[in-house]
Amino acid sequence: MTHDEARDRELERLAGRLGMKAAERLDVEGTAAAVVERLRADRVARRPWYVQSAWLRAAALVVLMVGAGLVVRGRLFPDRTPSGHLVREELQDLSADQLREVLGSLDQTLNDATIEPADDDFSDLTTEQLQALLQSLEG
Amino acid sequence: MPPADPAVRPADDAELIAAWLAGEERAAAELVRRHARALARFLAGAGAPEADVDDLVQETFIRAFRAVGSFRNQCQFRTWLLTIGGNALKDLGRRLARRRIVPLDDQVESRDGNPHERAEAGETEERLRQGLGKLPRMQREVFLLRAQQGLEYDDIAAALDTTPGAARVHYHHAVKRLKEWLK
Repeated sequence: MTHDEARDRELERLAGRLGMKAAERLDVEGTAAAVVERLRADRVARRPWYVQSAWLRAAALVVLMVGAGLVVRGRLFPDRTPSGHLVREELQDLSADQLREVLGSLDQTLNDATIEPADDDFSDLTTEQLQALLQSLEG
Repeated sequence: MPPADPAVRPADDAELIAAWLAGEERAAAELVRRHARALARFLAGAGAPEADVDDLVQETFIRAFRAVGSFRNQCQFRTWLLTIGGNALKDLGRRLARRRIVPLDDQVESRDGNPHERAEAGETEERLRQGLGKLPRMQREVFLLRAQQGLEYDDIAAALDTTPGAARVHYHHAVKRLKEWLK
């Protein structure tokens, strides 16, 4: 081994020992715990606003309030006016005679000038025409 | 000797990184346990003040875990981690220089610590530390990664974004200058 090579080896040996004391002094478990703690805080801080717990609690509260409101409303006003769609389905099941009967009963209560069916009978109308007339009265 | 049971094989770094990315905190802790001492040695060798080594180790791991999604196994995780440590040390040097605590040229040299411990470290070792502080950053890091950490030129080059040939040249320049310094 030449003198130069020996010096190279000595330099590498010294370099290998460099920082040994700092490494020995390091509290590895403490460092690991501290890093994990900081990473955990980092993750919480980087969550989108809607995932953060305070916002989730507020959103859950709103959902509960709206749900409770709907339940209370349903109990206070159980009978709502049926929609035109439902009335139309019911009319489909009636015969022509039954429809005339319904119109006759309506005739006694309606005073609508545009229809004025009071003095006419409905014997000339087909089933479809009677249904259309009743639907128009339904609005 | 019977072959090791693959079921109890310790997870490699890539597996631990994947586990951390999936939210497993224990994987991050295991990576710290595995590489913290080597990182502390590197930082101390690169001139980190003794009192700041612990904080720098933590800071380096935090930076690494924040950026680990961009790590593509271009080199070993440890090599990548050590270069992040080099950046953290450089930033510390800048902060110290802004506060005018130490002169800019000597910003990463250790100026504190117990004098008794420093005497124990040996005069030659201390001279080497001083010599490293006078090298350009690239030469210092290549020298430490090669001579202190025993890494291959290919790995060093990938981590420092240079070529293996250039890394070899940096190493030989560093050795030449350090030998002159130690004469």
